[in-house]
Amino acid sequence: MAEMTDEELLEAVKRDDPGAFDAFVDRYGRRLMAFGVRMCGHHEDAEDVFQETLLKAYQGLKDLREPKALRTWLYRVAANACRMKRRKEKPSREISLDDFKPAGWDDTMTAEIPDWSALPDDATERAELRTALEEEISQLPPDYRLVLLLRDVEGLSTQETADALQVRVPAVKMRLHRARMALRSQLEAFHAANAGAKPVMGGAA
Amino acid sequence: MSENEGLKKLNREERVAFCREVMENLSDLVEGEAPADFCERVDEILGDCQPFNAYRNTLEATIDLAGECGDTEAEFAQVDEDAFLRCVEKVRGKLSS
Repeated sequence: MAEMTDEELLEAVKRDDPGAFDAFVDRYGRRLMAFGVRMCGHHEDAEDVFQETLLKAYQGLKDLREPKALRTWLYRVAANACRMKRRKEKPSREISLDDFKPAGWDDTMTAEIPDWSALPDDATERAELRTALEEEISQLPPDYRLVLLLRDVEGLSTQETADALQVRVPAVKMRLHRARMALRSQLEAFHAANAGAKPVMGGAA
Repeated sequence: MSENEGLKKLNREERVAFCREVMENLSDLVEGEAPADFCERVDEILGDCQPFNAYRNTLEATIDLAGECGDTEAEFAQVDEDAFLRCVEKVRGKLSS
């Protein structure tokens, strides 16, 4: 059943075929749990969110009419489960673009900025960098983290992200851009901190 | 964003306003979603601006790296397999009850 298309998978679920649940879990389960881990930060909450997502998603699959929308719909269920888990938390703080203005901006005399965009080819160094990025993603305010995870990590389009989160496209674009700027800024600090010790990132130091 | 030839054509207020506009639309620029006339203006004014080019390149690298976090191997590294299987069995139990 692992080779089924989403359309075939949906049909199998609707018919209550033996193995349909396992096929669904095999295809989407770990991805949904990883999303929960990244959103919740700690594993206990992530497990609650994953169970809630899996239960509601599987129960709701039978009513889903458009197989092409399956992935977006699954993330909508997952995002709602995350929001329910966080509903008693303080409102998400806002990220301001002013936080990322290069020094000297107001005088339009900005000093040179290190270009560390040539990422390391070495697998270990690259993994180290991804781990640093994962840590920074976990520090983003939840509303921004949600958008960044769906759009840049999970690869949904801007419209799909807006559909999954039930917000307007301009709101997705604004949060996504600020989240990216925040991560860029943190990676720059990571680069600066590591530049003297070892060349973790490629490019000019 | 630096004192380069393109920026010298603008007065101070225009420079700050233009750089702010660029900053606000950098994701669209990187992803090729910015309007063509804006892209042309950015190339004309900031084409030789080191801070701008470094900023744009490193933002692009950040996006690429975030995309790598969504690769299957990196994604599944987030998942505790025992906890995953335990959750799946709990849900299976709820669905069959």
